[in-house]
Amino acid sequence: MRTTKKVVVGLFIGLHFFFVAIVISHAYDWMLNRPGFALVAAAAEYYSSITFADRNFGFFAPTVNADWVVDISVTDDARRTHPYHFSLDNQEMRTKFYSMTGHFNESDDNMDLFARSWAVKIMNDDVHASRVDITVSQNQLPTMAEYARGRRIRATPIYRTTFTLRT
Amino acid sequence: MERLYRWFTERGSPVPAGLFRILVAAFCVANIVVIRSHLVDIYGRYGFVQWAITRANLHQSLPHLGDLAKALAGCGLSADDTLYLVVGTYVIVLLVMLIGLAARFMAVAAWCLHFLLIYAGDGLLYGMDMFAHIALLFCIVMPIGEYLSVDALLLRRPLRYSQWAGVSRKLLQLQVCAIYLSAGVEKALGVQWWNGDAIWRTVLLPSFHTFDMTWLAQFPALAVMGGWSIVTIECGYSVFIWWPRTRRLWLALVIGMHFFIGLLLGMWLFGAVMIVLNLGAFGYDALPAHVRRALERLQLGRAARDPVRA
Repeated sequence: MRTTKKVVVGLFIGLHFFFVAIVISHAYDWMLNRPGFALVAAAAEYYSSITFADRNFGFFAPTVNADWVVDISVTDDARRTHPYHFSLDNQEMRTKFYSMTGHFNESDDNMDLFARSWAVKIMNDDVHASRVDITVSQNQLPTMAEYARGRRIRATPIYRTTFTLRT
Repeated sequence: MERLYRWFTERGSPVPAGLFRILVAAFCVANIVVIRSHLVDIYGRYGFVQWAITRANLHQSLPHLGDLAKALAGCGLSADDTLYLVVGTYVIVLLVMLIGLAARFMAVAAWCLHFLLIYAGDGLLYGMDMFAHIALLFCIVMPIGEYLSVDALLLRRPLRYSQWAGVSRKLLQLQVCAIYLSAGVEKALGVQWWNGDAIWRTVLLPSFHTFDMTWLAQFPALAVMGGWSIVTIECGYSVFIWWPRTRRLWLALVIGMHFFIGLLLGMWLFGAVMIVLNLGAFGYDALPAHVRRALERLQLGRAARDPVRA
């Protein structure tokens, strides 16, 4: 390779692994609150949003979060209520759904936005739906010792909302 | 420093890059096949998470599937039509990339289309999607069209070791090491991975329930061992995968770990993409010399010019 090309490629490689290093070492989190490093943090975030290469790869870490249960009931024009289930007919969809409920739980705003999104989807799928009730619960998982003593998984409601179609 | 530079820039075989291309393209097609009946739910304008939300989560300067749908609306295409057009093009591009026709160009196209798709379904994004995107990125970087490809056949290109083949694979290797180091250290920071609770909770989660593993509560030592093993495999990866004496063992351990994640949690696609990344990065080095020679002889067109370095 010619020298100029080598330098350019070397710079790119250096920058790539610099971003990877600051994210996995959590230096990025430190930089976020330091105005002097705002530009570096913004560049790392932008690069991450394009390449996904400089992300924190600690899945199921440091703790394994309990999963969430989404209960939805739909009321139609004739005021009949029936449960609604998202189509999750393979494990890949169940994994994606688990991930979605994790994103749902990231903030109160996300909860409202995601719930609204589900309601819109349901109302699009079912033209007779006039009201959608959503309850999200989080599973409380027993420890091994608690399970051996007889305690089982319990779901605790964490979010409830209702959407009504205006005519 | 000079030794490090020499190690980093030494010439490498294009065979691993060619095999990586085939594995990545096959994996990405398999991914679409698995979710084919849920495309609108995952990526659609009114899917589980609407485009209005996923667009807002994306930097303004970056393109979103919704932007393309808006542009194509003038041609009479609905949002769902645009989605199917993008997915269809993505699959065709992947198949062309798999056979190695204009492979690098196809890798760029596949990466761009994958970008549109994962951000359209950003609300359901998880590790598998990220690693598939990283794998496609490395397909752009690596000389993927030099081996077992239509390009090599048409251009009657001999198999040639190159500096870039060596450097680009070192980059993939370093990236995979960074992934496992990050995953291992993050786990080691949590008490759940030391007392077995993480393993227990993972197999107990109703979302991933495949087998009844509740018997584990009677044998907590097994869960503790499982947690320690995963932390050891992931943290040790960055060291033991480089050492030729432990490379095969560590590769087998990490592939075994992903196989069991697939088996016990049903996360087959996640396990598969991790195995693809591992094979692309270190699989070729773990092969015996005679197998590597045999792989080089598979080259379409002319025979290999340079000998295999054991």
